[in-house]
Amino acid sequence: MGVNEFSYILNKEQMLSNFSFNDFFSEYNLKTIDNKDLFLAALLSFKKLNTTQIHKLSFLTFAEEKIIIPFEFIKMPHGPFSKDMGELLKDFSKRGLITMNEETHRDWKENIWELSDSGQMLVSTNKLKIDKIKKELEKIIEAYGVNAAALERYCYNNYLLKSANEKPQDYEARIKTNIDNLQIILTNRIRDLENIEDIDEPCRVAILACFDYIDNLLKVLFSNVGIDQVIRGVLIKKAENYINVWGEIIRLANDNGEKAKIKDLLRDSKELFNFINLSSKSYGVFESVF
Amino acid sequence: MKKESLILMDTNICIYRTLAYVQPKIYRDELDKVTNKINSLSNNNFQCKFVISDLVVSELRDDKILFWEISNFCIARLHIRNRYESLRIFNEAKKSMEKFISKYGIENSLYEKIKEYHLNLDNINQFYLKFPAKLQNLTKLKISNMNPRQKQVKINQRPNNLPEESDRKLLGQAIEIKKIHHSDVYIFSNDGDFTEFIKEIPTEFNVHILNVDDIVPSYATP
Repeated sequence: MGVNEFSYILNKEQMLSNFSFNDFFSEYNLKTIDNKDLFLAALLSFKKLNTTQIHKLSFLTFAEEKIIIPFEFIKMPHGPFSKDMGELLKDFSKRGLITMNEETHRDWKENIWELSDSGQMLVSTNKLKIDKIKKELEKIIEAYGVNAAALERYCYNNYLLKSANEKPQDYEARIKTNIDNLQIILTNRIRDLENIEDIDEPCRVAILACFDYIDNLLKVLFSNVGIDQVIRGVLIKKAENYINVWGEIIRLANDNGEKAKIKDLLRDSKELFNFINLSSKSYGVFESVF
Repeated sequence: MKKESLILMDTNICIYRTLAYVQPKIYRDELDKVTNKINSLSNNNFQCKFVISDLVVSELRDDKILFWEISNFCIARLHIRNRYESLRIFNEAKKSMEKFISKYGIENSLYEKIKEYHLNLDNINQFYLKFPAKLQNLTKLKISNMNPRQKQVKINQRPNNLPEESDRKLLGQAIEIKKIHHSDVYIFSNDGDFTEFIKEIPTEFNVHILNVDDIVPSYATP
């Protein structure tokens, strides 16, 4: 038979042993938007958008809000770009759901996309679903705005993309230093978690296994065999977030911090871990444990 | 082995059976042996009835226990290098466990008849305490690959080196089933707390122990 009781008798107040195994590790249901048409319709129902805005806002929905959307992103000269979204814009045009106007500026041109009457009809006939998607998009627009240049800059800076004037070897060195540093912090987290007395052993072993997953993923990202810059950057940033969340959990546990706060952080850690797994698998970077 | 024997499966056996179907396939002798035994003993010749007790079901449905058992199996038996593999195997096993439980889980009618199994616990404790050296060795063996923290937990679960309570309860249930079942009753286990007493338990309680390595005879006895 298996093990029934894992609790320890400790004199000091127990923190992490107050939480169930599922608080530490379980499959987390990530938000998913699986209808491409409604996603684009919802995005354009806010306002007219140019091509850069559409691609960047879609990307940030995936990367920042950790929402699984049916678009894959690759690095193009202006940052994260989705071929699927490019195809969808053409398809929407053909179906008369959107119109495209070319606006000419002093030294450049941009394509502005706008919902047509048929497009507005698509929105009103799917109002409930569209409103749900818009709620998520609002968070992105509120946090990052719609300025195309600012969105592009944010994607470059936050997701470690290679700018046009950066040499490939400098980009590679920058990324590798970043990964090296994360692995050093991860080693410290492993040591910290091993030293915490107040945690049920199966929970500790499960989290150490998650850390092992992150460590192996970082090794794959370090070696960079055919991994696109965009997903590489996303996975490095999310691994960093995950390691940081665990730093905070361990700190609060050691300081007898607020239980509710720890519970929230444990949920965040599960969300991040699931997102990393799912994205690694769907982009063919690394396997998933789920 | 008698025809129409009733075989109570221990947690480790249920986990082996489930792991035998995890993809990509795990090649371990004991997994195939468990699957083959279940198949051959439930065929027309033996017509044995395999049952998962409510005690085992609650362990299998407890993610903490299931993960712990699988993680220990991965480390001790599979010698996996990447610890995260245990998470993947755990998630795979979890997905197929429910099907297995719904097929072999104890029926309410049988459970109602053995509800008083805990009354056997005193006798079971007295029986085991007759073998202090054997019990001490078993505890030693069980904790040999554990870290100090894990050792402490295990020792707490085995007062006077007695088998864990859930094992003693399972034996209590088998004793109750024997009172009402017309044929032999077995506990199918890979746990030393049962397999090291393969002769003594039947003599004392008239309940047999089936080990993973036991050879299934060609024909059932009536």
